[in-house]
Amino acid sequence: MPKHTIISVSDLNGALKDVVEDTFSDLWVEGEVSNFKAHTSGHLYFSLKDHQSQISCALWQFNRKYLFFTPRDGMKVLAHGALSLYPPRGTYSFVVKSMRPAGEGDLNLAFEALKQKLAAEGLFSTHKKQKLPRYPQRIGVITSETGAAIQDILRVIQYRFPMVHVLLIPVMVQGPGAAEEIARAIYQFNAQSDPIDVLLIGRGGGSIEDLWAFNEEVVARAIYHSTIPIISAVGHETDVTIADFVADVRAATPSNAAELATPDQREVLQIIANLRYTIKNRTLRKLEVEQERLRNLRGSYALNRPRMMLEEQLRRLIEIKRQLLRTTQLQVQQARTSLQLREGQLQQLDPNAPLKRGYVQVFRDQTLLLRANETHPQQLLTLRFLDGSVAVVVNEVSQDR
Amino acid sequence: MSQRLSEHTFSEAIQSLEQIVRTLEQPVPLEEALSLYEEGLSLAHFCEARLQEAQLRIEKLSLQPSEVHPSTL
Repeated sequence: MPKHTIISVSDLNGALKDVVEDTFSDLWVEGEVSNFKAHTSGHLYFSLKDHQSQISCALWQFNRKYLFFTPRDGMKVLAHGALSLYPPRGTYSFVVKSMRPAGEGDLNLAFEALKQKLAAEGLFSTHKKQKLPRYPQRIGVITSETGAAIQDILRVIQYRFPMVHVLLIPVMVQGPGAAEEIARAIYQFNAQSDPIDVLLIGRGGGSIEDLWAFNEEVVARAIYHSTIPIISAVGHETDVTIADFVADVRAATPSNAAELATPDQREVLQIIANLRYTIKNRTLRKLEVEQERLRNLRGSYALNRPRMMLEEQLRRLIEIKRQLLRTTQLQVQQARTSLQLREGQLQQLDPNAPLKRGYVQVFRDQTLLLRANETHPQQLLTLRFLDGSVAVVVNEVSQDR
Repeated sequence: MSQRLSEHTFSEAIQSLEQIVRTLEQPVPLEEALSLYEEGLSLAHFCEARLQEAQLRIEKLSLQPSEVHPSTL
C-alpha cells in the first residue's frame, strides 16, 4: 500500500483558501439573484444562479454605497468581486464588490436610480461645470483604439484645428472592467505633469448594454473630480448616459465632441484678420487725433505769441496813426474855422469898412471927432474918405437936440 | 521643447492681440500706440503662420496600472 501524505482538515481548507482566493481574485459573474436577504447589519446575502448551478454571495455593508439599485429575486445581474473560502466550514462564497443589472428593463431602472442618487449629491449641478478653453493645445482622448470614435475625432480635429496635440489613452469601452479603465484614464490624465486642456471621453453607438460603462458610478465620480474640462460623447444623439450629465459639456457624437473642443481654423484666421484691422484702425485714429492736436497747437496762442504781440503792436500803431490823423485834421479844421471867424471879426473892426459904405471920418488936428458940438464956425477940419482927405472950413454948427 | 513653447504661445499670442486692441481703446501716448501697433502686426503674423503650418500630432499613452484608483478619493 503506497504511503500517503496525510494532512489535517484545517491544513486542507487553509491550502484551498490560498489557491481559490489567489486564482479567483477578480471575477465578473452574471446570474440571477435568488434568496436575497438584507441583514440588519447592512450586509447583503443572496445567491447567483443559472439554470444548473448556484453560488452563495455576500456584499458587505461598506460596499453598498456603490450599489445604485436594490437587487430583487429573479433580477439578472453582473457582479464583480472575488471568491472567498471560509476554512472552519469549508465553504466558499462570492464576495461581491459591485454589481449592476444585466437585463434591459433592470438597466433602465438602475440608470434612473443612479441618476437620482448622483443628482441629489450635486454631481450634475451646472455651477460646477468647467469652461472649455478657446484655443486648446493638448487634447486628451479616452476611447477605444480600434473604434470609429477615435477616427471621427482625429478627422474633425485635423480639419478644424490641426495645431493641437492629441494624446490618446486606449481603453475598453464596453464589457466588464470598461468603466474602471475609463475612470482610471481620467485620473491618469489629471495626474499628468504636462497639462491637458480638455478631455474627450466616449465611444460610438451601441446597445444600452454596450454603452453601460458610461453609466457606471466610478466613471461619473471620475468625471466629477476631474480638474480638466470633460466633453462626453457616448453613442448617438439620442443616447444619454450618466457620464453626459456629469461631464462639463455633452456632445451628441464623438465628431461633435471634437467640434466643441476646437475652434475652426478658418474662423480663427478671420478673428486674427479682424484683430489686425482693429489694431490698424485704432492706431490710425490715434494718429489722426494727434495730428489734429498738432494743427491746433500750431495755431495756438502760446506758439504764436511773439508774432501776435507784433501784430497787436502794429494794429495799435495803425490805430494810433489813424487817431492822430483824425485829430490833426480836426485841429486844422478848427483852426481854419476860427481863423475865418476872426477874419470876420477883424473885418468888422476895420476903420475903413464904414468908409466903404459911404461914411466919412472927421478929424481936427488928427483927432477923430464923433460929435457936432466939438466944432465951431471958422474951424479947419479934415474929412477923410476911403480914397483921400478933403480940408474944409466949418460954416455953421447946429445940434439936433 | 521649443515646439511646445511655440505651441503654448499661440493662444497667448491671440490673447496678447486682444489685449492690444483693448489697450488701444485707452488714451495711450502715440509712441506707445505705435509700438503696440508693430507688436500687434507681428503677433497676428505669428498666429497666422502657426495655423498655416500646423500639423496634427497624435501620441498614444498606455493606461497605467491602477495605483491611482478612484477609491482613494
